Amino acid sequence: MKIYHQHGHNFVWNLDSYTEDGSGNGHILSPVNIESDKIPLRLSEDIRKVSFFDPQFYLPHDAAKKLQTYTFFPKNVLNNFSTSDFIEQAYDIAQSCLVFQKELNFQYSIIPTRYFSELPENALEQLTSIFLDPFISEHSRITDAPPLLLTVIVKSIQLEDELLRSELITWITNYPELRGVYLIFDNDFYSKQIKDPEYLSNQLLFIHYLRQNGLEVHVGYTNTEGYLLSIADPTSVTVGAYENLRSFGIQRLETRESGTQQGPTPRIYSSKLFQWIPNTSLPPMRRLIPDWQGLFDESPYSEYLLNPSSSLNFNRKEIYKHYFFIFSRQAKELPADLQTRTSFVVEKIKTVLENFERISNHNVFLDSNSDGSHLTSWMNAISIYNSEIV
Amino acid sequence: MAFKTEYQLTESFLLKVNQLLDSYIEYGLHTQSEVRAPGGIPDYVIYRSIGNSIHYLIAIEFKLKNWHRALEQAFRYRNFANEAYVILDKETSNSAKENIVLFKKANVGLITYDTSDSIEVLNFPIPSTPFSDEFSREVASEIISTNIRTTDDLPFIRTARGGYKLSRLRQLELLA
Repeated sequence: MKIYHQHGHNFVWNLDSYTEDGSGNGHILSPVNIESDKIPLRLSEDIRKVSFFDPQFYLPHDAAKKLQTYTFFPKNVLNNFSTSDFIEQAYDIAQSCLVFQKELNFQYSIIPTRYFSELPENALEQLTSIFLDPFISEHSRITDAPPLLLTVIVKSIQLEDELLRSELITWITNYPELRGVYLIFDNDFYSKQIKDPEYLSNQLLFIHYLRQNGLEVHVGYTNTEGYLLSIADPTSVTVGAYENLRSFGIQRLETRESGTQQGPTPRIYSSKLFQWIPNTSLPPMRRLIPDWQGLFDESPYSEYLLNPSSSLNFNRKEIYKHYFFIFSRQAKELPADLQTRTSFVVEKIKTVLENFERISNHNVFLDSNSDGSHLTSWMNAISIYNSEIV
Repeated sequence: MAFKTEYQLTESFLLKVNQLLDSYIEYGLHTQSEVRAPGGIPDYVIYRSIGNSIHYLIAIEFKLKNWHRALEQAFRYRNFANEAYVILDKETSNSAKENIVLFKKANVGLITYDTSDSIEVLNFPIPSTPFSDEFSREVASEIISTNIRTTDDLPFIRTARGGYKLSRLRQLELLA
């Protein structure tokens, strides 16, 4: 399983992590965060060859931030946003967007999608006429264009409802021109970790079905659960710096008035806990747990992160470079054989649960966004998934 | 009867606490609401200070419901406090009482209060030094509005003995 860096604000940390620490296998570019002419300057051809460009047409009427610099972005092309106007221009947009991706030598040609807050009945028809058909058609006319990946946003209802799920899978697998999908799961969980075993098992099944159909599956905007998803054999999952890159939310792609917001509590990722531990939990760990350092990983950044005198805040690059480093290492350790991988992941989860028990036995309290409560859901999700695919 | 709002619970309880504190004002006891601190904002802190030096600090979290969240918050306050308490509306505190062992494990105080002025102390924490010198300095700077350097002495960080005068707070039940 490969790891792609999901770019966003401060994507330079991802680039540095890749070149300096060897973390990850490639990058997913975010045009809302980089001007079109800056791409070849900021990313070498070697990097572009193992990366792909997400056109981010999610809100086609809103060319937020740096999306204004992309001539093919719908808002920059269309006079109005009627479906007929969009369809009329769709082939020109597709052509320019594909040529842009090819000329920069990206690994894949990405077919974008749009975001629906409420899923309309004719969603797939709309997406076919404004994106899928035009991009497939124009792609065939470009010599040596990189292989196609279709962006698919999967709403919770499309995972839960068997009919909708089947309809979506049928739609995706109906096009032999596609090499694979760039999958984005759109959910609205309040907790930082996904704790719904049904939802997780449905994610696993969805990935599994697509893989069974010979498609590459690149799952975007993943958090720690990317490790769990590995048992369904996705081609790649992602690592992202800020929380809005580890869980999909449309807000970061909207034009918004800037305001001052209090930053979140800085958290340190631990592969021994499959969790992000807030820096406010470190002092009791230091005081109450012998060998507490054993609950965290060593990296070029860990000394700084675990030093009590470091003035940690959520904008410190060390937090994220540490995570990229550790999570990439975890992915590399996964066995290639899927059955062995599943047993390996189950054993890891059991060990991590023991670590949480040790923390609790030393009277350190972790809140529900920092404890191991998501891991029982992981175990349940694996059981459900295994019973479905056998 | 239950309190209608957390504000009502807080104000009512603090009236009671302040009666007690007033009689010890000469010992340098002070209070402050909503102190910005790493990982949360305690609803109330009571501290003993001499000059610019804090000698003991208690952090309090009031909640009408969701005792577990209150416990998590109060536990975080132990990063910079010598004692941390959760104060709940008695009417909605049964679940917390059933889980008193968690408060004991966390070394967090649990007090219930009701509209008829009845106070019940279910757990007094054992005074201890804060978990974090760094966070304690941040909170002390916030309270006394002075930047505290790492070389400055803060008695409440190095010893939990400064709470002698504040231990009178343990008479709260007698006021009821």
